[in-house]
Amino acid sequence: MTSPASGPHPGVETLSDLQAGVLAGTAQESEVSAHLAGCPSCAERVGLLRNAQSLLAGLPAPSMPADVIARIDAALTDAALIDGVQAEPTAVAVLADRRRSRRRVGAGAVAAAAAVLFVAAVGIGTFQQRAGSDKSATASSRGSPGQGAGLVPQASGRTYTPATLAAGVRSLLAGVPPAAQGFGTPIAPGQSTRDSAVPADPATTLARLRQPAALSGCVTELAGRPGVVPLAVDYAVFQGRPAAIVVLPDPDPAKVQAWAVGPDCRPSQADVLRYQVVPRVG
Amino acid sequence: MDGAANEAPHDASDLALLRAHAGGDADAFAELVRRHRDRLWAVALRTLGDREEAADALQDALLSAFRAAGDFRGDAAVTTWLHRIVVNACLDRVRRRQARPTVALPEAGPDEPADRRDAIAEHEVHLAVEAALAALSPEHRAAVVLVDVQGYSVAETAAILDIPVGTVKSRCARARARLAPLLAGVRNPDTVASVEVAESGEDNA
Repeated sequence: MTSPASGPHPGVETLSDLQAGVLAGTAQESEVSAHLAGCPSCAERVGLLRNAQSLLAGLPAPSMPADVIARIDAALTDAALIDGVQAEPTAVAVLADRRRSRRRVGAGAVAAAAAVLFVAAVGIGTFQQRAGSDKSATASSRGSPGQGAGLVPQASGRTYTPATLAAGVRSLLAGVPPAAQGFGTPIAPGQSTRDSAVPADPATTLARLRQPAALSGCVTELAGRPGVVPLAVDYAVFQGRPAAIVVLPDPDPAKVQAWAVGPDCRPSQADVLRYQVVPRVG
Repeated sequence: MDGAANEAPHDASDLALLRAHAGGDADAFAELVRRHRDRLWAVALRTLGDREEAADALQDALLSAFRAAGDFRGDAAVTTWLHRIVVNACLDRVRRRQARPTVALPEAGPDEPADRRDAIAEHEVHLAVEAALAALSPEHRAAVVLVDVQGYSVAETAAILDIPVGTVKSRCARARARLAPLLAGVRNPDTVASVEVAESGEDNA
């Protein structure tokens, strides 16, 4: 197969085109291939092309340095405040958490964050007090048999809001069934609640998501990969809409991810009402 | 290689996060950035060849993505869209300051191999490759960084750069043709290292 090379030597660009498939299907492709088969010096130049590709592939994959992370985080937080994306007096556990890692921040941003923080602290304090007072009444329902690997889905029917999501999630993790809104007793799966104080009965609307397979599909969608076991699930209400509160582990072991999803949460359709990273300790 | 193909399972929840952000969720965008920042950083760093410029470009790009999330039409994967914004920010920047020499990039300390001599040799190889990349036009560099350095497919790269597949192939081919003679005397340290290991193994036997 090593007949002497025919025709003039192709340029390195032509050889590179051949390697990259640019010449595919052209007459030039067969000409250059034929020449290459019998020409050691052109084969050597193809070797240099491969060497270059191998060197490029061997460049290290750098992680974003901590100072750049902090700087971009700060810029995005400032943008959120300026744009009013965080207009609600809410997610401030998160804001406060972020502030710790920030290197620089505008004075305006600090003032705004502080104002919001005050509102949220009052809200969370109120909720915790209420949850605490109901603790003894509901303690007997703890540890009821659950579906899946140690997960005990709850059906508190409780109304979560952006302001109480963090505190509500922490109480879920602490094993305290949230007892606000007159839904003191967790509902067994499939059983409907008799109280109709909420606009749509969450127990009925969320019936599909109570099936382990449907819940698992939803969780896979939220986590972006299969096999993630939720830390807690509560069939409840989020801002007036039936919602499953799904708590997933966060890459940061000090935090969890709180997802409020609607009844249609399934693979390729997350139906997210709210997403928030919540520190385990408030 | 840290290719986008490995992250495919993220796609659907990336979209959920972007939608949640557009709907006013305060945390969704930060999570999206956290998932993809290392790859976006690598692309910016290799395309610009300068740490500070890369940080500036990435900040501009992510702020722009933060504000444009509501316009995302879902005609590409979220990661493709993010990469496109980052690459465009880099190309804007590199066109503004054409032909500035590449600054030596600091390599990660903790991951440095224990053997100092190998580390230096490897570092020099990386510097040589980075210097050679700086000789390319911005368009050729962006294409070859995405395909050969970052390991994205030609089709993904075409989507990121918003150009036909054939143009990606031809830009990569031209970039390699330019790099090949510049890097003729440089050898991949991985290859060299494995040869050395094999030799010392024989000595011990």
